[in-house]
Amino acid sequence: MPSSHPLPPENRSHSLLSALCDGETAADEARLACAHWQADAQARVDWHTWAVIGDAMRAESLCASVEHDADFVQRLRERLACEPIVLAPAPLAGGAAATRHINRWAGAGAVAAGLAVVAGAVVMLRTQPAGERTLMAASNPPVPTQPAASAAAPADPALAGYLFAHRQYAPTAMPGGVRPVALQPAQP
Amino acid sequence: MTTPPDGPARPARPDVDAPLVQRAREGDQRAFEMLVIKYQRRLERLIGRMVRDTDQVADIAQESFIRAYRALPNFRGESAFYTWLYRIAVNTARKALHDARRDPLVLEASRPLGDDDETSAPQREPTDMTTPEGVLASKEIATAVNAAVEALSPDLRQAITLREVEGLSYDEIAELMNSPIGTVRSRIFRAREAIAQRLKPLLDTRDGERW
Repeated sequence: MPSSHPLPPENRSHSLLSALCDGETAADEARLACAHWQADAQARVDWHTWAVIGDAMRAESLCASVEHDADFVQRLRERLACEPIVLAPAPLAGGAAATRHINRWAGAGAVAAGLAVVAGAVVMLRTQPAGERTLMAASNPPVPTQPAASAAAPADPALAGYLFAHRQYAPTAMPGGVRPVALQPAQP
Repeated sequence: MTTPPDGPARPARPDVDAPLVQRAREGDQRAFEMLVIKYQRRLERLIGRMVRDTDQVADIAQESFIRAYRALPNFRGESAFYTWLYRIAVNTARKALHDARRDPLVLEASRPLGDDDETSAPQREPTDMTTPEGVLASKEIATAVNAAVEALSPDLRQAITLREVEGLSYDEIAELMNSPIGTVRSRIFRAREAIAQRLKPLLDTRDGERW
């Protein structure tokens, strides 16, 4: 079989899928190959077959359960359908420099928020009669999260957008019952 | 054919799964399913070596993939995707074993029975997915794949072997075979197509719509 002549057009998508199998595609090619995989049942069959071929070439014992592979994936697909779509936080356009910028702001914000909490607690304890101090300390006064978060809010719109994306991704309630504050991006 | 260890692969070169992982992190669930199809057998063999109950293997593998999917936004690519998945599967299997030890029903079921109970012995050993049917199926598939690889032209055989067995990148294969990278890509694709053709009777491809 001649091995180096160009592929016919109908095979190009399939060839891309093969390259994706080996991690040898650019981002746009990976997108095309994934779309081809979803649209073409034969592409999905071949993807499985190629995976089995690789496994069989590496170790015979990997192919012991091939018969139930489709059922396994079908079951997992049903479970994944109940899962929320995972989205990694989008990277900031500024790259490393922007990350350093964020770290500087985040560090300063965290220190400011911490100081605000401690100062608030000290002031409240000093203004209470001695008998109530013990009770105050034991009953965990509510943390003034809103002012602290506002103090940590950066003026940089790009940074505010990044932090907003993180808050979107964060769980609705933090351990210990503290809810994260939804921070809107700063208006330009 | 060589039999590499089941453990994490060396992370010396870029992760072959990076394009699919990136797409999955961007919310493309199909990309994650493609990774599942690629690694489910390897993961099940790993788990089968850790747990004794064959019925549990698929469940733990499912749970491992679900955990990986949930944790995908936190995957920073500092290790290969399979290395990361491997760790998740090991931890999931350990937790399942731990939970089973605390479950009185499972504990009762795992107690040694009398010597006259011949059916109890095989359940007590790590399974490694080695049921007689599984052994037969894997032997048939391996035989068909080996025969198909032998029947390939030398160029195609060398390209697919360097990729699948040696784990070389297309760049490295192109350098070794003194060929353009596009030719390497084409040869590997053609080799896969030819081997798949020989394998078709053994795989249940009539149910293509299930994939």
